[in-house]
Amino acid sequence: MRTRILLFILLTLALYSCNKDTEVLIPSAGPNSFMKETYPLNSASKSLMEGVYQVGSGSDFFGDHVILKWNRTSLSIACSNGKYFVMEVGHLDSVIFVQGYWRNGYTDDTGLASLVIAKEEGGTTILTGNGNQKIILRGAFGLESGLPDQPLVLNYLRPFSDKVKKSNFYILAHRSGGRTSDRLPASENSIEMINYTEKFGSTGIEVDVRLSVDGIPFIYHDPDINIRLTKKGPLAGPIENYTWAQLSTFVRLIHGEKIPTLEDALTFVVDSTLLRFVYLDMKGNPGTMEKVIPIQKRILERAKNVGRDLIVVVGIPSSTVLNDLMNYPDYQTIPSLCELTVDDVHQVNSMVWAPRWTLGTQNDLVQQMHNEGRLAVCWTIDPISWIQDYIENGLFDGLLTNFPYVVAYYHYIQE
Amino acid sequence: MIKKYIILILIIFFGVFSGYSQKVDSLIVKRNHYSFTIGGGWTHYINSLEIGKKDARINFAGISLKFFWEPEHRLSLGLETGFYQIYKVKINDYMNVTGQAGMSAIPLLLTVRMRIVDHFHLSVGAGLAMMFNKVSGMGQNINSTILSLSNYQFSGSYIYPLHKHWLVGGEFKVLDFGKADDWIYSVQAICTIRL
Repeated sequence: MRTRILLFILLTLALYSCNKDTEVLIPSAGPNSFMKETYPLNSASKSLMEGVYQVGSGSDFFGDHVILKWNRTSLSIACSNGKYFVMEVGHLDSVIFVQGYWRNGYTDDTGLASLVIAKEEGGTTILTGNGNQKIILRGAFGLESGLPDQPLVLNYLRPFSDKVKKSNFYILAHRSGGRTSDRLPASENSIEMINYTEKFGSTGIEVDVRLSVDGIPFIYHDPDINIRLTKKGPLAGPIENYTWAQLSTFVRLIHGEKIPTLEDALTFVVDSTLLRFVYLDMKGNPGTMEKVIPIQKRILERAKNVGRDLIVVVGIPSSTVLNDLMNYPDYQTIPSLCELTVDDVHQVNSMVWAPRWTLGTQNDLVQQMHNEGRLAVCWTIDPISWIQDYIENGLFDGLLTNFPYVVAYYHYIQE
Repeated sequence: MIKKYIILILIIFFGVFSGYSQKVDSLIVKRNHYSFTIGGGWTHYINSLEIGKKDARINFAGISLKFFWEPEHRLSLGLETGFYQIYKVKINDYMNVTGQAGMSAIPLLLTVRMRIVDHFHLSVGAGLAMMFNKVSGMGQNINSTILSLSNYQFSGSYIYPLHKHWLVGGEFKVLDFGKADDWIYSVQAICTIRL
């Protein structure tokens, strides 16, 4: 009998262990953080903070160098080894306070970070624009929710190179900015993730487009409703079987967000972000294209009206979608991104060629695309060493990745 | 040549004799049975919905069907199926339009049953299930069928023999439908025909 009870307990534990954790703890300084007492930096000050920094204390954890780059809402710090920081910045008098969290994108490691730029170590220079740009960030980082107790010092080394400043390189984040499986603070293919992804250094996104049974394009990756991507609800099975009203009522993404329509997501990109590139990955059934193209046109018009230099391209991942596009009138005028051959690019006059990364850097073909006035990006590249190699030795105009902070590091650190 | 014929006749003779010796003695009780069981009763969904949880109806009637091979030892091997309504949810959206969604399932499980003490059995089963998602309202009525590959049942049953071929009893059963991670339990009255 004892053996049977033991077996029952082991079976229960085995089943329970299948439960998923959907989020890594994002440590926070809490409501008592003094950051709300500080004043925001102006754009000139922000610009002076950007650049390549040498890591003093903490280099065994974060590598020898990091890059600091402002995004729309916060300061991103990217490391060579897949770690990154998302930091709030404010100043009191001539002291600049930098607080936030760090995370290893390839694991669940995370912790708090708190840094200060003292008045005489760059605070005055950053705030006034006068003096020599010798900036030192001193502080500490912690593990999990523990208080920062391990020393961290970042010494300003140099500004971004002219090559970097002049380049128009796109850091494209997968699934609207990040995958749900990477345990990020927002669900993939949600407006909340689009809002968050610039903190990772992203300058563009890829979204997965599907079509509801009543003809509304929406963004969602998998072909079916499942508990990997959604909260457990009363709908199941192929997601494109359902009407938009049914999806909107009965389905919530893993962090509770509604599945967005494509139009809502793209409107948010134009109105509320600084993203420069949107790649519409056409996952839906044949017929999706004719619903998506009018939305693409409206969004490009909206971006033009507010002076945004935004690229929105419909993806062509297969010959089925290629044929779907070619059924559309004046298809050669539709901004598209072709994942197929160079011949297919020419056939539909794609604006962007996007081969898979495993085919290599293909510099000769990428150069050919450039000569024809087209862009070339590759997908979906994740290993750190390959990202480094493609940036240092490739000619691509952008990389699509699940780890945009890694791409950001190797792009911005180029000399 | 004659020697060969003699050997052949001996082989045929002993063969027939030995085969005849295996014939079942009509006085020995048959110990190898097949049984067919039908059950029906109350099912309860262990409500793990995160959307529509408070609007869900979770108690229904369910039926089960089982076919077992019952050799003379304690273990029996069989197939089990049935029909279970898992839940039904009715929600009004922000425009006050009513939508209903429900899930039901037909499992097909390979089941091993063990007699623990007289009349009392424990069983465990694993196999496939067809899950049916039915949604109505909000535009169109949608029916989706989903194949769930990893499904389990655990049950305990008391089966009392009324007659050589007829048995009745009760069963408590827990079922897991893996694809949707839905668990139900069921209390059923069962009736068995043993052949």
